[in-house]
Amino acid sequence: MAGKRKFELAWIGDKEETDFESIQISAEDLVACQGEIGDFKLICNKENQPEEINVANIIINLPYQEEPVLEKADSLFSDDYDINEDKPVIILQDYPELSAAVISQAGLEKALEIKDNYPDKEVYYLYQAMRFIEDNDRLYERARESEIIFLKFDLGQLKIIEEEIIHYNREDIDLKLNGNILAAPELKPAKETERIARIFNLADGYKEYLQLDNIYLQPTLSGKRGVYLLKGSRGPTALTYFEEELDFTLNEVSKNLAGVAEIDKYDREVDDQKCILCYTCYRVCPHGAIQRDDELNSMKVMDLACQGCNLCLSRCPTNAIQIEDDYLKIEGENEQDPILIICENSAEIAAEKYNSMVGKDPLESYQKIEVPCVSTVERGQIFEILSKYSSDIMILGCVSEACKHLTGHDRCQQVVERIKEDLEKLEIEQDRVHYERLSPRMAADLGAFLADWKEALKQ
Amino acid sequence: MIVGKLKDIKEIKDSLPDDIDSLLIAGCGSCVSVSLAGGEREADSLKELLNLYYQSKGKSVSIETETIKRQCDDEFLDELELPVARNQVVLSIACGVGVQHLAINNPGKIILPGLDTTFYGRTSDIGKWEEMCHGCGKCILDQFAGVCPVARCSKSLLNGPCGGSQDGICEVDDSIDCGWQTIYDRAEELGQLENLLDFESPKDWSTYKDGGVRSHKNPEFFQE
Repeated sequence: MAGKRKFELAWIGDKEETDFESIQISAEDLVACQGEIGDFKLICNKENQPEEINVANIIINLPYQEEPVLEKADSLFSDDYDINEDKPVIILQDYPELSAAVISQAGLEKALEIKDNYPDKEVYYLYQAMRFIEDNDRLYERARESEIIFLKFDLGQLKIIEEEIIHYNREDIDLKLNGNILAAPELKPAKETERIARIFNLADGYKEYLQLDNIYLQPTLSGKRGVYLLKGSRGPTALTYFEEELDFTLNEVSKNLAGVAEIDKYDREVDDQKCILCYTCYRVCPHGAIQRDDELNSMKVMDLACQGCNLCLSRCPTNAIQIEDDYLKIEGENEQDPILIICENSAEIAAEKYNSMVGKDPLESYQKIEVPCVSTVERGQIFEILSKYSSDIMILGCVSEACKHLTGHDRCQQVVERIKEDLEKLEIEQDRVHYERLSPRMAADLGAFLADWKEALKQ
Repeated sequence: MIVGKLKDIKEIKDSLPDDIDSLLIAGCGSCVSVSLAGGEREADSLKELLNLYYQSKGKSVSIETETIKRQCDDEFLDELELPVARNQVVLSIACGVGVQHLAINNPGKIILPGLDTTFYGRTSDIGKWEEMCHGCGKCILDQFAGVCPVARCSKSLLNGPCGGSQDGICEVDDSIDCGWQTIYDRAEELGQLENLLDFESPKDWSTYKDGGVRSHKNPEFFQE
């Protein structure tokens, strides 16, 4: 390695001006990321000169890839476009799909620029939906005053006949427009996105971007603490709210630099005699909180990165990861009561809300196991409960977009399905395991649903 | 590594004798632990499931588990000696090698397989493995841009693809990449396309299973 340098912030991709001690790293040069928030180690290999760079925070800010929607049209974002003297100019947005809101702004500005430079030129503006962010309403008003012709279309009302001719047809208007088209390009994730996802061990995001569709990640968080996603790394709407998102992110970086605390008081220790370096924990961890400990030649859980879901513990094939917290303990007074396995981030919160609304604890008269994430549910654990207790088991997980541990709901569902499959094959106890999804807001649903279930059990 | 998957629970249950009173589930802590099929966790889950089954049938069967580092080497088997001795039946969830090694060392014991040994492969995703090698006994990866035509072409062809290669997909199944497309693509990337023009003589399969049961010795330990 050429040497070690330390920074407060690393920009992967495009860099913005900040007061932080920062470094810009090209996505192509980055080969690995180790460590956790406050002490990431980025391994770069620029022109075969490997270098280890220490950074406290990381912002991945890759550009969008712009894909033209029509072969012969110019891009709405380009300053180098053709103006043919005889033909009108056609601005095309929302084709074939709705464009991001910020495109409306770019389109209106472009239309006005052309009208200012060529006052006699006919300018048509084809769109499905005009989005009024920032000063778009003022731009739109000016555009109407400048006699730019706005034609709104729905799907099926617009056909591209040849590359330069657009057939616009709705009930009252049938127009064939032949002119210079400036089309809003389709925005896609940068080509390095997949490789970057692998380097940071991020779960597959929305539409191949890096951010998952999840309320806990709003607006710019990745699943990995201290790693933030902007613009073309985050998703299709990130261009519209870039300034606000940048402010939020830099504020987060400041807070992180002032100090970061561990998520809970528990240590998750890997027994280096049992660990076989299979990397299962590394692969399943939704927060990128596991890495290899070279000294011990075993995996280790990074305390600041860990978000406490315990998924690693429940999937380790050798039971090598231990915690001094009996989080699978069953609480309850009556062994005959049905058993609930509930996520502390959804059902538990919904139950508290229900209690404050109705004045009655909906979880009363159940035996309970409260878990940090239902992904910790294991087959062996469920089979053991089924053989020790005579009551049914209900697992209350989270709806997909409201799972604090991102993929926990899916992992739990997979386990429950396999449990049911096995029970069915042995023709035993098939209907005793139940699984439902909730969000913390669904207090009333939880109350009603548990009452129904209890009624069904009685029958 | 050797990849395996746990047998269907019904098949496991049916393979156990009707008059069973005690069972040892023997896990293996190497390859099949990595393929999430035969390690300590799987042994424990299987124990709980079989407990539940026998309980539902009103049968009393004592079940214990023991997972050792490797079932294919004598030295590790010491840890299994007592558990094997005190149980009527052993269900090994090691690969086929481990099951047989355990049987060789315990001639008087019923040793049953709880796992299907599938192939030599790599982990390609969480919980997903892909075949990479057939163990043919004569590696030819150097001639095929590092992609094995024996293991990764469904027909083990050595002189280019068959007519069933369509858009990089094998005709045997849509989920299989054409091995020869992969060979071609990688050879092109490496500038080695010329190498593929050489005519391959029929492979000497005597180093594979066609030559009979195989064994070999390291000459440092054996004098010829």
